[in-house]
Amino acid sequence: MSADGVFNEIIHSPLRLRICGLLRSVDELDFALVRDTLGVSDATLSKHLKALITAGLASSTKTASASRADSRRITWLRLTKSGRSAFDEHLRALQNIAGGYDIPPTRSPHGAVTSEH
Amino acid sequence: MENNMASDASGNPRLVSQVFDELQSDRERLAEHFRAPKWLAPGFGLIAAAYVSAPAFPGRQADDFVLIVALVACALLVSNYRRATGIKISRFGAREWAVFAASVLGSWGLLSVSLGLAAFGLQGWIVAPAFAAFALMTWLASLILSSMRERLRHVS
Repeated sequence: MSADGVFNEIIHSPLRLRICGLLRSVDELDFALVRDTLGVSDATLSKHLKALITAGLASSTKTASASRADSRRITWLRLTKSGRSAFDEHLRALQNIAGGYDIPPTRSPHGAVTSEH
Repeated sequence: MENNMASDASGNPRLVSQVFDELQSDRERLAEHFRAPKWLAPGFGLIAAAYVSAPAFPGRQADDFVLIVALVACALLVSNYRRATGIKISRFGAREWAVFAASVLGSWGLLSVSLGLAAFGLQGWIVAPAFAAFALMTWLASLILSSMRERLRHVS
């Protein structure tokens, strides 16, 4: 882990950064929820997710949905361990770039106050 | 604009700051989806009430049966809740753990009251601690869910 962070070109793509930002705060998110929160189409989200999954930064699993009469499934998305680490490093690198700008400290996913936001 | 902003952000402190603002906005939108269904907290309250009222039923096996049913019901509630919100969060923060510990201790305390009432042959009065368990657990479950939503809103 670098104190200055490590800039990650795959994560830095605007939509992928936002996807990682959402996934970093939870264990897993429903594909549809990520799509609606970001306001993008299924195809756009799938394309960027594929890049993250191919790079080993995210993963997806499908589960049956009892609430649906058809055979559609819920797709759960999550960051892998290396994905979480890469995202944290990338944020740290961005924060160094931000330098004198006032970015308020926020909490880590488990409650500890950090300055990495 | 968003694309330009993020792609240029690697060298511009002001744009980096805007990227962080956007990430924060996404988190706030996500937190709005974390609103628990209305049935969730009362569901945990009912489970606690059933657990506390177990001494009203005769036989040791009734206690074990109620406990097993309560644990299965908890698992089902959490599973349905995850499907309803589309969000899985399994880890608690310090505040959630404290409230959870309080709910366990509260349930045990009310169970001991029920056991005492049953020992004196006052099974009918067990409805009182059972009702208290329902109210207590509903309130504490609401606190935990509220705390998790706030934590979600502010994480980095």
